Amino acid sequence: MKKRSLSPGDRLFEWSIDLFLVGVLVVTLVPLWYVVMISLLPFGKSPSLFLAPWDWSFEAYAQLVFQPTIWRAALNSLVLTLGGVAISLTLTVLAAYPLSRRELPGRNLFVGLILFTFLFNAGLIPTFLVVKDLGLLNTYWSVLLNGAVSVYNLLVMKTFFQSLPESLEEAARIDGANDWQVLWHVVLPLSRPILLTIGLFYGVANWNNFFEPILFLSDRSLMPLPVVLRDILTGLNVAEYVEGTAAQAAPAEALKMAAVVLITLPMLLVYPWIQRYFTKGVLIGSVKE
Amino acid sequence: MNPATAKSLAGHNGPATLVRRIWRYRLLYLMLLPGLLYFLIFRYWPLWNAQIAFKDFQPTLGVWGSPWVGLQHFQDFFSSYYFGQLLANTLVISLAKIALGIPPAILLAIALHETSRRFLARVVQTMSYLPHFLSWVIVYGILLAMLSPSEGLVNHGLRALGLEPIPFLTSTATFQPVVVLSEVWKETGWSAILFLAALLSINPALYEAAAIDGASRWQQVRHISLPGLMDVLVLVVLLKIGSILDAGFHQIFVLYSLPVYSVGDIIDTWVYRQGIQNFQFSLATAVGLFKGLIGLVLIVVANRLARRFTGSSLY
Amino acid sequence: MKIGARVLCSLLLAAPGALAQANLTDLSVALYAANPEAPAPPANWEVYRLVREKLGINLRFTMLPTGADGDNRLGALAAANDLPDLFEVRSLALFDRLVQQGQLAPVNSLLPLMPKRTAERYSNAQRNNLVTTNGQIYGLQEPVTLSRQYAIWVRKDWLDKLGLKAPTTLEEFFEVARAFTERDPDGNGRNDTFGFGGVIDFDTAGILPGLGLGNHFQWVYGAYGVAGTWNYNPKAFAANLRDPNFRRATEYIRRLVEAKVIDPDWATMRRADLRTRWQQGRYGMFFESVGGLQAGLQNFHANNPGAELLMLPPPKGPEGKSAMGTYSSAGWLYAVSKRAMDAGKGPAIARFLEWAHSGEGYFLLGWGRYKVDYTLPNNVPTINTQIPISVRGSYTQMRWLAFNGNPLEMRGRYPEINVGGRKYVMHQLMAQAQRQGNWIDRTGDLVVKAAANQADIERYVSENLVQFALGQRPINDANWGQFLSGLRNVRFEQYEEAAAKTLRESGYLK
Repeated sequence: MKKRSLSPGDRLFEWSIDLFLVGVLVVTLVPLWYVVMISLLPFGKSPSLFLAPWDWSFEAYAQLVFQPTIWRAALNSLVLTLGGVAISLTLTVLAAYPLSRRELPGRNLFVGLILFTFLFNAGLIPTFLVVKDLGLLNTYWSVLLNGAVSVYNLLVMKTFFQSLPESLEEAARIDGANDWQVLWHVVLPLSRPILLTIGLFYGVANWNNFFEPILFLSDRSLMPLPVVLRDILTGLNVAEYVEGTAAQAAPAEALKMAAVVLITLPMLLVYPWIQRYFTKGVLIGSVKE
Repeated sequence: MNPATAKSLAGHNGPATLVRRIWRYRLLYLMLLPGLLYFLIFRYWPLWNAQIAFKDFQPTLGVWGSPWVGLQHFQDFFSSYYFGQLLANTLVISLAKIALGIPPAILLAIALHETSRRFLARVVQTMSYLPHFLSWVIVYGILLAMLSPSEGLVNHGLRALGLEPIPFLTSTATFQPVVVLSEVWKETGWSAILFLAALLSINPALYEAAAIDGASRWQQVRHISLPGLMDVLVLVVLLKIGSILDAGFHQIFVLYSLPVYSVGDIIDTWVYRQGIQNFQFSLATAVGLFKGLIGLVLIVVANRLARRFTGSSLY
Repeated sequence: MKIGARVLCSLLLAAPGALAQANLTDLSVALYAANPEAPAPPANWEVYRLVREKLGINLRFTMLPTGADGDNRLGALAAANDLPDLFEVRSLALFDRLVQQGQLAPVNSLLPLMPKRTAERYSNAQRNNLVTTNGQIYGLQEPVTLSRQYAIWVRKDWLDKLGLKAPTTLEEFFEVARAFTERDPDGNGRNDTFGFGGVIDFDTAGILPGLGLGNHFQWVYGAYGVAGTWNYNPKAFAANLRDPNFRRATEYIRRLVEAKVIDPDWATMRRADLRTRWQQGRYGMFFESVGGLQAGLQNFHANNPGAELLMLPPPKGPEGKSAMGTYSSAGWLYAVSKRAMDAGKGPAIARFLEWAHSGEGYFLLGWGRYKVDYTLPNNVPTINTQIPISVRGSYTQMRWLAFNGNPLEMRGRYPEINVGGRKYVMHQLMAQAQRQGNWIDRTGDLVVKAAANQADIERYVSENLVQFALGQRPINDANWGQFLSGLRNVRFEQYEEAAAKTLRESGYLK
């Protein structure tokens, strides 16, 4: 807990910080509020920031939520996200730790090779050819394995591991621990903020991913939520082919925004849940630097 | 220096010693193996396939069997009437996004870290990272609602002040700022997460010691927080420089329109129209390699500068 | 002996069935999702069973996502040499590449195997020519059943309120548009209406946007006799943009923009935004398809009680010419992969397509489950709208394979609806849009191959025209001359010459 100081300079500091935060909140909130307002738009009203509560229509949400395909898709998304985070975090941690050790022979070579792939991305078709040759098309593995490790996340984690005080690892090693035990018993417990952060990064990327599923999966029943929502919204855009078969319960804009809110809602819940673990002072009791 | 390192450096050269060293670090190599396999299979194998950038790719002949055309696709790219403009737009937009995107993220992270109103911090943290999840299609709708010359909120305000409405999305003078600022709005909260995690890893004892020594909060931020962020900051900036020729395809594709092609058309949107829409995959792959090459050169240069001026670097 | 005979009899009876089982052909069919918001057909779809029993085909149907996603997927499958047996191609660029790369099989041998379908759909020489290379037909080019369904719609209630007549010429159009913008026709005391709503749109669905400002403005160029990309003049072939009338048409558009009678967001808006705005009652006149109109009527009438819409024939230019734009008589395109043909699946494909063409197959694929998804009062297929599209739609995902555009079908596809106290007979509106529009047949445009730098050419022309229309560059002799001479930078003459050559060889320039 920060000690509250009474000096005028510090008080000004606190007030400017808080003012800044409120400013950020307003700037962020207004457009988000607009999105929610449009999702509640009934027929017969114009989109606006100020829609009276008695005019709110939940028809758009109803139409989406009662689509038979949505719940299967949500389940698919959950599997892909949780599975993806598990695989990605494991691989990333296992790769980042050795690379953070300066004494590892060939370390710079490996980092260079990995960085090279960050810069030179082979692209859509070359990757598709590989996935096909591996026989992974139309399976979840294609999506899970293709995005298993992100160079960005890997390098971030490596940087964090590097910044941990060496003395801690030294102490463990003197006590006879091998590299694996050092990682598991010393490094990981101290890395909670970064593990949660990178886990969040992977989780979000997997949750919102639609490009790879569209490319690699052909079975509609395997499609995750973003793809299904996209399909529903495309149905609205290709009105040329609609031909009187799609009577909607809500205006097109409301459906679009309701889809956005639905897919973003889990994010609203995830971060506060993780925040509980974002505590300061993870190095309390350890050696002073 | 780490005694282990000193020992290994003092060792003799020779294959026997090399094997001994690898053996000593065998657990680490074992840990590294799955990751390396991933890169080999899902990054390097596709790069092997990426040789179609130098070929006239015929699917029936496969990647290896297709005929060579050398640098033909690169030439097609360079000889586009708009090549210079594409390159310039891409660089300008990318650099502006880096320069104007990172400071607010750092500021937000520091603010969240320093405030004593925990509830405010949690609310702001959660709200500020939500725009990251909105697709650019949605953000375009929001921008249209706010910046439209006929009915946008901003122009309503301008008209009320007696000024002429500004067509933000269709004027070449304002399009690039709209692109950069909308990205800042969308991504600042999200980018701050990483910096916040970095700040949380700084030993709080440092702050306590500084407070005892009489340092003000401003000084604590300047001398403890910012240096503590340096490693992550350098990493983030360097990686962004490496991908400098990716100026944000999805965003620009959704936001741009004919009146602003001259300032908004970037390499990737051109590739989309010319390569993807016409199914010329070899061209798209070639341009991807070109972007990588430029990124590589820039990262090497930037890394050297980073090491000289800040002491931390990528490798 | 009797037992032996009985056993023998049952064996003989079982044999053909067993043989049929052994002769089952695996057929993979991929079509763009006809109903994107509905899931794929269920595993127990009646069609799968029927097709297996009656046609000996083990049908595996996959849906391609609509639009660019589907194109990407098909392109990726093509690159991996893993094309489905029978599939739909929506991009002629992709089709050409597939032919070039030898991944498509000629379908000449299939045509006699599906006589009824071929007679009605694949007997037009001109259409077949579109997909013929070296004398071999590589695609099943369907005739178009959904085209020219676009029109300019006008708010009749606003015309009546302001005492105006529906405009018939460009000048009258301008005056009416100005009245709609300046005289507050919706009576809400605010200047928030515009005379015309249109956007820059090149997304083809039954019409050709041509080189320029896209679908929504072709009617202006049509009024000056220069609609479409090429002038199809056998003696003096050239792109229409070289014609002085092209400049005059562009000047007219500039007048609309300058007088602010067109929504100022026209240059950046998307079609979806246009739809939102006309539904809110922002425009006195707007460009829209019959299908798009139908989808928006509920919202429109809820927002604008008492409103009435009228379809406007394309306004006439100074020389009395008019045209909404250009179109091609080519509809959907299906192709057979070479691998499928080599594996001997040709006859099975023909059987399937013939079955889908009429009778049982036509109704199952096109309309769904009889008495559940649709009924047949007076032989007109009538959709049961009680069942939501998200359920109903999964049974008609292959409907485009079946539809043939006959009058009964059109009445079923475009039924009469009542919204906002008004009656809309959609199939009549469809026919009216097609008839009234004076659409010019430019099927030849599809034969012209894209230039190597096609994207640059399109950008050059469209960008310059938009700059002229927005007034960023005044339209005078110097600037227009610069625009035309600058065509050299994107190698336009070569493109023109190649187009002339192709059109002449294909017999479009007579």
